[in-house]
Amino acid sequence: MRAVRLGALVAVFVVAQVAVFPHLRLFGVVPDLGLLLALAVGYYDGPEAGALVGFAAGLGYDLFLETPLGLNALAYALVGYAIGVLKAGLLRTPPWLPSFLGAVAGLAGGLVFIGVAYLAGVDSVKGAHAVVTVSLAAAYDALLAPFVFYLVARVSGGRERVRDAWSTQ
Amino acid sequence: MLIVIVLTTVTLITLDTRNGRSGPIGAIGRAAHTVVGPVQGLVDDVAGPVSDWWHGVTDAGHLKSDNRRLRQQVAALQGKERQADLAIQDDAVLKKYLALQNSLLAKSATAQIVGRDPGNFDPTLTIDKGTESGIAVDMAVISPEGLVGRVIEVWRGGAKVRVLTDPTFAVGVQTPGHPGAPATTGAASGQVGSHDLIVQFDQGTKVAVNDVIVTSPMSTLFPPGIPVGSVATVTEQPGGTGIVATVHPFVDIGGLQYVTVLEWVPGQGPAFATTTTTSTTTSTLPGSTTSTTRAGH
Repeated sequence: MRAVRLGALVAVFVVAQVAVFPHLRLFGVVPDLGLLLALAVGYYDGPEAGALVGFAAGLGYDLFLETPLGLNALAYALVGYAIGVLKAGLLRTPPWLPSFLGAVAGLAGGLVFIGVAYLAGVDSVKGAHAVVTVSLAAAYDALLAPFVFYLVARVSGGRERVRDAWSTQ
Repeated sequence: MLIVIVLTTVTLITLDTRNGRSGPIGAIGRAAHTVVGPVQGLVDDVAGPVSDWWHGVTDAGHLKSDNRRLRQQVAALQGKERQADLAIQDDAVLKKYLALQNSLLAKSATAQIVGRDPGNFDPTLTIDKGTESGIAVDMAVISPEGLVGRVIEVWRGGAKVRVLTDPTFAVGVQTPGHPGAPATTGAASGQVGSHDLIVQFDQGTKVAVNDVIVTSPMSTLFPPGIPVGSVATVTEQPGGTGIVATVHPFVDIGGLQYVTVLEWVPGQGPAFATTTTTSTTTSTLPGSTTSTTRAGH
């Protein structure tokens, strides 16, 4: 049942990414909603769930882009997996953790995207402009991350997870 | 699990890079567009005012300077408009002899923009008309201000347009003639991180700032004579290897609501209207307004 709810959340995030957030650009960039979803799922449900959700959300987003299919799927899956692995080493969950993770994941995922796109010959990711774009998108991700963590906790977990999403420990 | 996902994505990237979106992958993408297209259209209608408010908030720093600049432009354009009224009368007579007439007589489809730039590295527009309106890949897309781009993907109920500022976009263009120097052609292309186009001309070409650049009669992809932009800067290359001009497009991609797709088949020319219709085309060049009423065949 939780898998169905997460699947529905992936679909909603993809639609919001391609239909809503192009209207809500901040500094000219859109956030990576699928990346934040993979991040939150990886954080709560472990590396494999994070990778799988990241793959699905990234692939769904890729279908609407002209960049090679699979680029976002790869970047999101790696980030979802990595956060699931790193979570085991976390001793404290301060309230700013989702924003911090959102920024770091946005930057890491964006750099993976740029690197692989560069190797695939995508012209639009060449130059320093691409790094600036990724940095701005990572800042936007940081702003949205707490809300995505809260949403994922509500959808995939119980009260404890919601408490954990806003934890001040 | 991760290894399977990585191998799958690398395979997809390789297949997509080599073969494009013509196979099953492309079909899935077009199906996704067909499903999400109506949602995009609905969101676009609802989000218009919200989007305007959002841009007002996020771009507040630029609004005052933009306002001052636009007031100056309005004053300058009003002066030019008076001069242009006289030129328009001559233009109406001459236009039927120009190749531009062909493009205006070609069948066309006016479409609403329902989605734009879904990603950060993807300067495209999504429109609400597709194969059912006769739109096909590679057709030219224009607005009253000038060239917008070309169709790169089409499905039932929608199409995707690559805009002219995309780094992978290229179009053959022509300069106006100057006294003692004939019109010259070149290739304009988009640049990474810029909204201007760049054009390389041969050494000795006469190009001046504010020259109006139009699509070239030599182009097989676009109808000739479509306004592209005005020359912003002209730089001579070191060693006399040529001249590089930056061209500021006439079209403000961010402000577009509707576009017209010309049913111009690359390499073959226009598809002419086959039913008797009357339509009005309004074209606006900087400083001039032209309205042409015509009957189709």
